[in-house]
Amino acid sequence: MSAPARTALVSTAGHCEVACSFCFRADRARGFLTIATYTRALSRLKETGVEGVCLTGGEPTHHPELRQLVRLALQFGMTVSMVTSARSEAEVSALAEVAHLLTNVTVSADSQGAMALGRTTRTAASAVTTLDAVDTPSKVLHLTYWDVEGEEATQLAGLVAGKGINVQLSPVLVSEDALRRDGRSIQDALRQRARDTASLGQHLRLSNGYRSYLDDLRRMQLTKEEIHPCRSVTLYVSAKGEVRHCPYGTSEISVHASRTEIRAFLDAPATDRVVPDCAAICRPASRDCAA
Amino acid sequence: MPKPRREKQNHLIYADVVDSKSKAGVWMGERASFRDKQARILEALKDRTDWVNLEGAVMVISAEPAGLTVIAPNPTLPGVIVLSDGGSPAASARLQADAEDKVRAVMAELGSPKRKRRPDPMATPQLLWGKYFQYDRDGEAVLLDPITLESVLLDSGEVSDLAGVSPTATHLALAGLGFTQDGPADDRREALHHRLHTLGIDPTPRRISGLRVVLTDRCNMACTYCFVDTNTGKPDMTEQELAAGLEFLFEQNAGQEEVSIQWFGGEPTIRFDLMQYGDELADTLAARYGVERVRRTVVTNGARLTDEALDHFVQREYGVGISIDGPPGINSANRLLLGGQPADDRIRRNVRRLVEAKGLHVGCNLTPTASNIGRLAESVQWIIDDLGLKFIYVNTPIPTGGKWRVNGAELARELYEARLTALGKGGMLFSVLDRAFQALDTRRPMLFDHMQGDRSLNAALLPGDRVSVCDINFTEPSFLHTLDELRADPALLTSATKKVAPIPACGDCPALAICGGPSRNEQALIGGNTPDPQMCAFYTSTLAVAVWDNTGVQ
Ligand SMILES: C[S@@+](CC[C@H](N)C(=O)[O-])C[C@H]1O[C@@H](n2cnc3c(N)ncnc32)[C@H](O)[C@@H]1O
Ligand code: SF4
Ligand code: SF4
Ligand code: SF4
Repeated sequence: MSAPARTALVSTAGHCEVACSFCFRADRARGFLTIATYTRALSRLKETGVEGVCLTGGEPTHHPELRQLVRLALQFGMTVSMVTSARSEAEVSALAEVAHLLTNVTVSADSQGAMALGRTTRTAASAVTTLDAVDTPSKVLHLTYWDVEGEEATQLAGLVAGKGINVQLSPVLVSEDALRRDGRSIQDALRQRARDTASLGQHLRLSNGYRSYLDDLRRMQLTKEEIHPCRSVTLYVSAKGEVRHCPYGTSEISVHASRTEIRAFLDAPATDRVVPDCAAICRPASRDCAA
Repeated sequence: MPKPRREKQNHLIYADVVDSKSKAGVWMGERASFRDKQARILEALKDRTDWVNLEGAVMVISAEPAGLTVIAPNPTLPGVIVLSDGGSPAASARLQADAEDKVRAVMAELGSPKRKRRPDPMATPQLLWGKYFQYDRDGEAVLLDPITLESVLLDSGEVSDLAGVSPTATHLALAGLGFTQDGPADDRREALHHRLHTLGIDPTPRRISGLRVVLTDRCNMACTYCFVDTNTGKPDMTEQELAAGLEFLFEQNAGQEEVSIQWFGGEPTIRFDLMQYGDELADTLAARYGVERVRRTVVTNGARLTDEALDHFVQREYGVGISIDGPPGINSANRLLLGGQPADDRIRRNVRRLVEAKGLHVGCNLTPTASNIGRLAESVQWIIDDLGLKFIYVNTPIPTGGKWRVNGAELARELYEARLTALGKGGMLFSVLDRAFQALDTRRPMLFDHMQGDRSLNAALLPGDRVSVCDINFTEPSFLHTLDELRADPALLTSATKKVAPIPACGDCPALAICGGPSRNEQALIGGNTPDPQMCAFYTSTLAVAVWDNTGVQ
């Protein structure tokens, strides 16, 4: 029996224009989440005890009715957070317009190594510029990292210092195949991650939770075993209105299904198993988006 | 205790209007049963709305229009309270109406087993005390005052009381509600006129605020029942005529909030060029005459839709009404292409394109025919489920060949079933049946077809510099005037004004205040003063349906 979910990650669009090449997003169909589907989702989730939603990608600031998305969730008495890559003027102003209604804004960034790997341009500095422009009680810079040198870590700490911005970390996961193509092994990658973590740890205070999460991840990668059934307390809602326990999961139910069916689906234990890939999309206990 | 029909002009429906203080004991005794029913109503509503729990109530959250509706069980009486807030009066009213309709649909669906049966529109009411109509059903009865439109539900005990020696408790209670035995039974036609006067309801139109523009009589279809003489070879409207007509419309409405333009035919899309021309011109005219908004609609058979027209509709935020009478078998019984082939596949494809286009309000115009009566609910279900059209406007049958072509009583019953089907599927069905519901709910007579509440008229602009003051009759000479004639003599607008209750028979008719007698157009088409019996059967049946639609009173 899974713990009842308290939060839900809501995908605002099936497509994403940021298109990080390492992105593990589960759905990639075109099209924005419609207001009718979203409203139905909020109603059905609220009924089952979900208290907060986190708007995620595609890129939420591209949603033509972002304000309405935020407003509706508040009407349902839910908190709203957002994970965004907003950088451009249009994106940041769309975000700034609703930011005061949000509980938390998480802006994603990539370390230089991760940028090179994923061919992205989401620097930590530009993420901080975005966060400076918004007015929310809680701000998070989410850094996906790979190959972080001491100097970059120093800069990162400097960027957020004194601004009330928390940093969340996720290591890039490179698939075994990709590693092999590079002539490297899992062990090489793990050593790299250990070095990265050490660099970051010199400048940021890593929580015990994060350290033990890294340990779990390492164990999973080494043993290639499914360690434990997923206990994520965050549900996922796709842009087409399917609710899943896990974004990757194959079992799902439409928010337009009958209330009885939805309840049955949510009451049934999640069958998903935590695997290393989970790190890229959601961490147990949903630390990606502190809603 | 006789239960008067609730008045529903304000936010509260099914609220406490009986003297519940002295009756509290009775009500409280029934509490357990109605509470249980209320709980089931709320639970069923939760299945079809987006809501959040309040203590003992639900708040429905809507996005279109945006707003909130609180639905709560009435603590001391059966029924539920509905309260909407949509930010503007118009939005609140829409939310309120939507919610009430949903509540009614749910109540009707749940209905206690005893009331599962549908109203029987065939039943003829008896006259009581020379002035009220008594509708009987299974021992119960509804009393209706045909002039004030007050109505009261009586249980079987109360019905037998009425037959007893006066005054019984029921006689007294009824007197308290304004239903008395004494007083002469007035001439009811006179009484209605008096009532209209008291309420300030005036049948004479003030101005033309909308034009149905008949661009051409050409049509790519040849529907059997069509009230328009199509493909006669008469010339289409010219640009000059269109310009002159629009100029007239805007000039008459200078400084008003809204005018409406409806493209009509024949098949209006055959002259899409004129629609484009007229839409451009309307913008210029709106700016010149300070008219805030132009409502644009088109009524089309949907058999042909170019990309260009579709884009234009989207860009101008059109309301598009497509005429479809039901699934292929039913539709093609009367609606066929000129060559005699069905057009259903083409229409269906075009409906899909319209529905998928953003920003259009797309609805279905359904004409009752011998083919869909008997299968109206099924047709509506198909239109909503298969075509994806949620708004269905049922055309009022226009007599062709001098008579009504459908059975009026059956039509009324069918409309009621179809309305419930539509509501149950999240759709809306609009028809003249609504007139009876509205009249009973608001206690206001509803007598006029083509005139809005603000006494503005929808007229038809025809080729050849003519306006018909009746928008469903393009040939009757007494309705036709030139623009200059109308400018010179605004009193001509009244040439289609209904003479309320023109014939003595109306005075004996329970539907007097929801029909008000045949319109001038009916008279012209039937060829005489005597209303078509099917028309009378229709109006009296809509009333019989509405008096028993007591889902609120339970
Ligand atoms: C006359 S057509 C013109 C526009 C277009 N050709 C179309 O069919 O939508 C307009 C509407 O009038 C309806 N109609 C035609 N004859 C009718 C009649 N005798 N009674 C009621 N409605 C009728 C049609 O079904 C259609 O919905
Ligand atoms: S931790 Fe893994 S299994 Fe669980 S929800 Fe997240 S991605 Fe799915
Ligand atoms: S398509 Fe419209 S105008 Fe043409 S014949 Fe049919 S109802 Fe009449
Ligand atoms: S239904 Fe017939 S009798 Fe009754 S008011 Fe109308 S026209 Fe007159």
